[in-house]
Amino acid sequence: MNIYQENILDHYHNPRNFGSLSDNSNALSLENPSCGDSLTLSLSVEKNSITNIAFTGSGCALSIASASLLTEYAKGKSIEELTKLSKSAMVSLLGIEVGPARIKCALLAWEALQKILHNFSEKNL
Amino acid sequence: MLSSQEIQSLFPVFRNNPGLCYLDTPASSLTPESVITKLREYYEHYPVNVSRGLYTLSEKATQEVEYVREKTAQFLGGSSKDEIIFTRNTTESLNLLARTLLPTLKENDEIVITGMEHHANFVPWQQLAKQYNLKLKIVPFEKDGHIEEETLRTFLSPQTKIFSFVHISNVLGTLNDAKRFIDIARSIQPSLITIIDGAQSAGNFPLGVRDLDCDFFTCSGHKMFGPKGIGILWGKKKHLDTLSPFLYGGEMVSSVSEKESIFKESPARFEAGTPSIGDIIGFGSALDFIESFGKQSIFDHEKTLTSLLWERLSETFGDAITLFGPNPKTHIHTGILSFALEGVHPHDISQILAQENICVRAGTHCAMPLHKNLDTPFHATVRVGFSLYNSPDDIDRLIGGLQKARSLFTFSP
Repeated sequence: MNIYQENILDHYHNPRNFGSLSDNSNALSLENPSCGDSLTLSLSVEKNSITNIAFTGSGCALSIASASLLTEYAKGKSIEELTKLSKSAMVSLLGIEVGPARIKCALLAWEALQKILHNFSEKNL
Repeated sequence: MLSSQEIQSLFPVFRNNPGLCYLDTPASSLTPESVITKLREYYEHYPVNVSRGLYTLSEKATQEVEYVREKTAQFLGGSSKDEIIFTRNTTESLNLLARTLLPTLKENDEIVITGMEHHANFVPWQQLAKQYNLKLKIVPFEKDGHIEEETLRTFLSPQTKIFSFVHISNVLGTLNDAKRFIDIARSIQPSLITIIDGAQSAGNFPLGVRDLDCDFFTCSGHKMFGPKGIGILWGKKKHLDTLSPFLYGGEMVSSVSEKESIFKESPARFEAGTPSIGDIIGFGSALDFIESFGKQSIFDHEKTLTSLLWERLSETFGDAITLFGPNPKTHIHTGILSFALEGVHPHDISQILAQENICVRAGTHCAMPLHKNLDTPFHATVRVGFSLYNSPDDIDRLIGGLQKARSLFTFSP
């Protein structure tokens, strides 16, 4: 299957929620060192819900498109809901099949999100 | 020289994957039929352990392994089979050296490497330096991928005990003038130990270890048409017999009591446990395969393809492509060429090429420190490597695939 579907290329060329937030208390940077992808994800939380989310970074089409799609999906969702978002649900958001060689690219933003949510929950126990 | 079609017919993988365009030899070369036949011969006719057995099958296996040891010594231009140690790969050979040379070092001694090492010749020294308070010095390379002799001189000093450097860069395709590097190093510290990482040069570079006059030379069988899982450490006998072993166990001892063990001479003292016997025997056939063409003609074939690729990429993509390493018009550029194409991440290029059955490598090629010094937005590159089975047809296909990638990524809806 060709992973370079119109939707993926669109999110790569015009990433949604690209940028940073003024409040970076819930931000995290991750790298995929062997391929050269890097990504910073930041979010604002109010009453257990994601009110705003943004990312910056550079990388392959898959890592950027998946970050863009994830930020669209996450906005307005509750922490609980997002913590339950599984790896396979993340891949479903992309709407393509992702093989083992590219799965790290597809999950980079998801991994950053899960780490931020985990840290947030620890801080606010 | 045979045509590329005739050469491809010697590799079963091309029969089983019609239309394969394989440009990833710097990672691993493909395996010729003759090597596979030899592996089968071992596993079907005398698949037993070496050295200990007094029965015919074990004698045969031992004889075959020792025959390959002799052949490897000749192939690398060494003087004795006792200077050949079989390891798993270049990485293991270099780790063996790092651990084995450690007792000869004291605090603040210097280890010198270059900025174009792959991780195998980087991480072992970095870790050794950190753990034992040694100084690791890294000689930087110039923008066009070569190392200035003057720069090298300033990094070497009388405190330098080890100088370990790559012969052919697995990213830049640079051929370092190993003989010259060693002469310079010895003029500054005559007794330093010189190590050549020959992972990319052992199968195609015509000069031998005695000509280069290094103390140690390391390489991997799987980059020389051999089986995966066999590597070589060549060392001067005078060093091998005095240095301490790296791995302890059976086969490397002449006697063991409850309190004491006496180690054998090299190479046995560095080959503890059962070696990868079949792979060693298969590697012998890989050496025959290379010799049937000649190292020089393989080297020239790869170099010619690189020059052509360099020219075609510049012509086709102009300013949108950055080519790394020496310009083949003015300097030697071996069969490895890395590049970056504007606006398309190396991973995406490699994936789009994969859809066309073209195999290249994308990323940092086990050389992250090197990529930090390259002028590319992603700190990653696409790497193409040539071998005997490649031809200008592969270049045509690669260019076609790259054009496809570029149009897909520069198209704005």
